[in-house]
Amino acid sequence: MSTPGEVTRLLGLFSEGDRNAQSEVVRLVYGELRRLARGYMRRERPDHTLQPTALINEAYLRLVGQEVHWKNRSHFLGIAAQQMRRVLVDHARKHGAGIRWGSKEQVVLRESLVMAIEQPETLMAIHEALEKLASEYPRQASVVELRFFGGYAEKEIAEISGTSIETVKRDWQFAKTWLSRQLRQGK
Amino acid sequence: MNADERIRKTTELFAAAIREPPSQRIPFLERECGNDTALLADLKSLVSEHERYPGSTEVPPPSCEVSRPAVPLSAMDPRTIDLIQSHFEILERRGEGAMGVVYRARNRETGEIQAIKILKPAIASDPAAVERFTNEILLTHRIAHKNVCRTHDLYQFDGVRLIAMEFVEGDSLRVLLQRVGAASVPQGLKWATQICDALAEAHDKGVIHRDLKPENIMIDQKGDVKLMDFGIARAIEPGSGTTGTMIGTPGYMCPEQVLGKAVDPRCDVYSLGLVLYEMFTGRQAYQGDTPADLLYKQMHEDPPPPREVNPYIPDHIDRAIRKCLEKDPRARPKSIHELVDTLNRTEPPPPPGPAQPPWARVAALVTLLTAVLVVGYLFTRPPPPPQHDGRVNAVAFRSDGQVLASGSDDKTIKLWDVPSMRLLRTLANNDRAILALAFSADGLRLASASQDKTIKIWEVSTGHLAQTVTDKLGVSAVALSPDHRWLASTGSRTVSIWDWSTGSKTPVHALERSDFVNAVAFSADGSRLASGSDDEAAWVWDVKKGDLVAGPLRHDDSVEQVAFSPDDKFLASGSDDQTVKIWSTTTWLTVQTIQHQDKIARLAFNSTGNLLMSVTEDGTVALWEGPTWKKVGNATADQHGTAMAWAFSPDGRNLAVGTSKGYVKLQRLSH
Repeated sequence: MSTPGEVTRLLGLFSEGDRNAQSEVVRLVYGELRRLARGYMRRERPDHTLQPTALINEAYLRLVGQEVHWKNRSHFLGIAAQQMRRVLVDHARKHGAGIRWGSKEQVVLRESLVMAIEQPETLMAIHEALEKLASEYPRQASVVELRFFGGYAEKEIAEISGTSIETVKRDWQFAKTWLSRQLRQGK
Repeated sequence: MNADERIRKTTELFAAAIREPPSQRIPFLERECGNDTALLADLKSLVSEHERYPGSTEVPPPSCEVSRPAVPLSAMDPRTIDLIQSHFEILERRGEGAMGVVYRARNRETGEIQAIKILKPAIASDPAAVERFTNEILLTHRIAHKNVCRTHDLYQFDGVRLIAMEFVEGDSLRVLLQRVGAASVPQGLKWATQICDALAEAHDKGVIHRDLKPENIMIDQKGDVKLMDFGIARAIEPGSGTTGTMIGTPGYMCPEQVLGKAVDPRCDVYSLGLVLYEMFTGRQAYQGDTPADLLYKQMHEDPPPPREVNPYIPDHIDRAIRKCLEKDPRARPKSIHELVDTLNRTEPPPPPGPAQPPWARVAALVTLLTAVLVVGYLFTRPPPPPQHDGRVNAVAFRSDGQVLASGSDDKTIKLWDVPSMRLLRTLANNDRAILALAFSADGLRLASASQDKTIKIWEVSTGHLAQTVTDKLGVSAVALSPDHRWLASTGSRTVSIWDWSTGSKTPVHALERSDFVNAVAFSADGSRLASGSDDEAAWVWDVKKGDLVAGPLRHDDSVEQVAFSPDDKFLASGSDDQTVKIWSTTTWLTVQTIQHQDKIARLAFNSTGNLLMSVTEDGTVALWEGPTWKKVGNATADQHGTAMAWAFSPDGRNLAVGTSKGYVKLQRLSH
């Protein structure tokens, strides 16, 4: 495990443009999130409900601590959302053997996602649709990633991506519709 | 318009359109898009999607329901869709290949269910590609064989071209291999023979497949082969151009195809060799990071002999596969007929040589039986219903070996008679999944650990719940000392050791770690306890004193499993770093590191300690033999699921396995 000071230092280097620092942060964040997520999945409620925001907050406190420059915080949150997605997708891949399409439940994209890990097929479908969206509309896809996998509020997303709240709202609306169409069409 | 402009325009127009009143949206878009019909179509479908779920954030489930028309059709001209629909009732989308999207459809004229493949526009508009496509039809019309997918007709509706063919309900060999790793030898032989029969028929008719690969080999619901996609095959006729452009799939092309040289049936023999290699070993003969890398290896390297990868492959099959893979076409079997003869030679395998030490034979037997156990049931028939309605997390034998207990995600514990596997009793008084089980030495009581954070003690004869201990921190693993006095449990950052003989509700020791503890195991003499945790190490404790004896026994990632050898000379630890490490219990140094291909999920020694079994998260079971810890066998998950739990019976004769799909299976290991 790294000390909070180390991640803060790496985030500092990262905002000065150090790419190695970024990949190091990614590695640390992924490791920490995966560790936490696995602990929760194994030991928590039977429906394995996982709150990404809670996990990211815990990882944040463990890796960074309270005091950090807002720009570093934005970097951290951006990375954390990506890595949260990776953790969830890894998990779904592993436990999604025999993926079944056409489940009856509605896929609900909420502002802060409460992810039911027991529906790996849903998660994988969203992940794949999001990959497609990202290849055509990268900015809009990143809003979904931050909101869906990071559970961030519009204001935080605007901060992280350096745009206005209005743009975030519009991107979310567009991406949601696009994903809806994609998911309804199947793979 | 470049890509960025298009993104900007699409998103802006979408945002503007949905601000318009619903009736004005389409006219608005038509005005704004002008001549850009593609943009208009895209926006129209987005707006209608938006209207389908106005203001809601709900997204429908991914689905290919029968009632819904398959949607990618909507990208076409409505008139074309009508034309297609007048011939076919599209039932569902089945997949997408290199050439286009495949649907299951009903032919309105004949009422027959068919597969229709709608060619990608890029291909439909390319005359050379259409020609290849037409070839597919003409050629396969020549081949009438039960193992070849029948092709019916080529249709053209405006610019859209589609091909109608026999609908095969089933999976491709690729999908099956991904699911199970390798086919069992008898199963593999059956498929190999059928593929050969189909190819022989094609070759006799002058047709070379030219793109044989697991993706093109369908296995229908009866378990029979249907060979598909003679799409790039071309007749061997004078002047038809069997040289030139490289067509095929890197990884399954024969060397002469790679070089763009003339190809003949021996090219299919080579590709078949690659398919057989993969089918019998579960591994691709050549592996490369890039297509170029793959091609280079195909041209210049020999793959490891199949038998080295899977020792159960009979010698004559091993030789036949290697002969198919000769780089020089002249060294390969001359024809498919010759290959079939070699494959189906029915000589018994030679008996094990007398030079083999006795333990090696015992090991080989155990290995073989385990492999039969796990691989032996491939795709033969629908499996019987499982013993549990959920993953089996734990199995345990009573000390006399007569009773087996299994615990599952379905919240029940079931007791089974050995060896009849008759259900004796179901213990169902649990709120949550059962994670671990252990019998007492006298066999009268059973301890279970549940996700509801309790350890329960049951009277085996009556099924009565004798005692419940709650560990507030959670319980995910338990271990019982061999003298059945101590019970260790963990589910948090703490390992609790309970004195079972006193029935105390407070642990005797609470051993703290800095991170989640995943596994606990007692030494055979009961004096020590090993634990593995997310702090990337295994630790060893003195059970009576609660002191740390050894550790950290370092890994590079979380330690998921620990096990002592029966003579207590070794401790094995398995980790997410994909290694099993074997530690000396005197020096606490690693004596061996066994590299795996995935994270370690389960570890156990057999009762004599000469074999170590490991299961990785991908479901592969491997057996390693001491003292060198070389691999002596492996098996992969089958339709019964991945092995999640197992136990050797006290006499070492039976092996019980619990699987991810709820099965509890018993396998006799000797005589």
